Amino acid sequence: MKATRESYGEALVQLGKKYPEIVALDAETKNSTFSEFFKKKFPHRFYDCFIAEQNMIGMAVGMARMGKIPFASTFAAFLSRAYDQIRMAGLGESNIKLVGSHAGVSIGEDGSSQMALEDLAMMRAVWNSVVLYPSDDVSTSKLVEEMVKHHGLCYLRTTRAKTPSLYESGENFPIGGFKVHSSSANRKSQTAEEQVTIISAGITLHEALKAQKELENKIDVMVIDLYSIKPINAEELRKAVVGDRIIAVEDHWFEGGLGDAVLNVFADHPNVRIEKLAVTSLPHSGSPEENLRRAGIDKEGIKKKINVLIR
Amino acid sequence: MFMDTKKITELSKLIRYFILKSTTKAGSGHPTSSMSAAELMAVLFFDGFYTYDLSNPHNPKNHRLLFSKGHASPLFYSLYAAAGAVSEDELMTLRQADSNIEGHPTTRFKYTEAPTGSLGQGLSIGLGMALAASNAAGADAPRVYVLMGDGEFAEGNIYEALELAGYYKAHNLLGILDVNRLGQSDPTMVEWDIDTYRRRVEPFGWTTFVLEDGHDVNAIRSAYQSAEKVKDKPQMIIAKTKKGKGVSFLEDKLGWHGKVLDAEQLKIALDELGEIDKDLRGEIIKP
Repeated sequence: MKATRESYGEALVQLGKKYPEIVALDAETKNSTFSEFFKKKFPHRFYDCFIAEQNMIGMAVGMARMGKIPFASTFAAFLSRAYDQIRMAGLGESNIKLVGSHAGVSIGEDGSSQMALEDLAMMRAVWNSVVLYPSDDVSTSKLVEEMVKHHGLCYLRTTRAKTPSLYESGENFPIGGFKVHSSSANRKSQTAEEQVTIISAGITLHEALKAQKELENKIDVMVIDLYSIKPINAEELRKAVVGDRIIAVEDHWFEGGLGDAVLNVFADHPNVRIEKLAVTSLPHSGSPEENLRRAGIDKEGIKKKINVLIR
Repeated sequence: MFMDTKKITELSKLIRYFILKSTTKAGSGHPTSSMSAAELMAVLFFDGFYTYDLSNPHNPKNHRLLFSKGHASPLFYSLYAAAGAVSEDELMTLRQADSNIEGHPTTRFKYTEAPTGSLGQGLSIGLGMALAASNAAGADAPRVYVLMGDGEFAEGNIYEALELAGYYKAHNLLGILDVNRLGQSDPTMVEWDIDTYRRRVEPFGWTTFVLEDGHDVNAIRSAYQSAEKVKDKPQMIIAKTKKGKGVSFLEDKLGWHGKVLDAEQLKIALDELGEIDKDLRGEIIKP
């Protein structure tokens, strides 16, 4: 079990050795985003930006222009404070890398002011952006390296809570890709009406996998890890789904996030039914599990939706 | 340094001619916001302060320049025209669909470091450039210049940048504040009270140079000279200027923001500017 934010910190240190152009900036959250690992290893390549997010993004743009590969991190919620600067960075096709931690209601007790619930919508709407949302240690470290290799604005959404490991270190996570977690149920014995595909990423991917496991002897549930929310290889994703029912699950507002990205992929497929599970009520303090349950995006909420679709 | 005051004055006139002509041709744009900083920028470019290899924007020794007040793009492009890097024909394509010189600077134009036009952001970008440069080159790091308007000094982002630049002692960062008093619809909050700007900027750890006349070429030169000698702090030139400077019916007049002259007004304005040596070109020193 490891939080993807911690995996990010570790990955950046490893990549810092390989890529001398990497610099890191943080808005006084470095012990939460784990960018402090980088500061410890490379103090001269780290810039404390204090609680001034707009300036941090501007600085990152300037550093990128000088040939650096800047990783700017803070709580994902507070990147919204610098959205105009991010928008302008997009227009300049700046090579900046943004990392937002503490996404979603699953941060728990700190309450709604600390929860990023609009970051995916915001980042998807930036020109030429790449939006990534890993779910475990391996996918995080691989995606951080993908961000380094890709020239352009990238956003990585990390999670506060610790999550189990899903992938082997040999797996690759190209930008635009996704991972398929098939059900052990015998697909051939079932008709399309008995099959469901869940598309998710990050913290709710784990909930989807739990739901899949609990239903494995009854319903053929395929789970897709859409770690690359933008871009999406639409053709491949359309081929990958089983059945004609899709549930998109995310720890984000109903508007503009992963679910809407999935809707776009299937917009011209009238025979596919898509249900979105996202945060639709005002969240508040509580345990991470409680908050996911209340939002209906935990394994029980997902199972309930599957049962509605299959019935 | 060339110390050729007469030539800088002539170049400033040429730049004003380019600003007025290109914006009238475009039918839109911000000539008056451009004219207020003509001398501030002409001295920077053509008196040997801004060193830049026009044939190689990637030369790591190049100084860097950001027009945080991106709406002054007619001035930005006119400077490169006066340096001979942009032809007058190209300058006359301002704001046209296939032109690289857009309404506000974008990276379609090869000398733009970052797109600007959303106000209050240039100083942060300049700070990032200055820190990246000084991280690599230390005391010999190339200098970064950021032209700002007084209107955008209402933006909170400016104060974040002031604070962080002071904290990091960004010695190779120079802000140039063009206090032309007038915003888009009204005067700014403190108008020409340039001492208020000084008192805002200095406590963040900056050295300031206040110019009572931001069109006085000798005073501007001396401010750039003094700024270069500061080795442990960012610097800012705070200059009192006139929006629309050089043409009496535009000078310090409300109602001219983002407005261009029609053909008849242009003729009157150019007559007032007097004789212009259209073949005159300034030299930007190579690093």
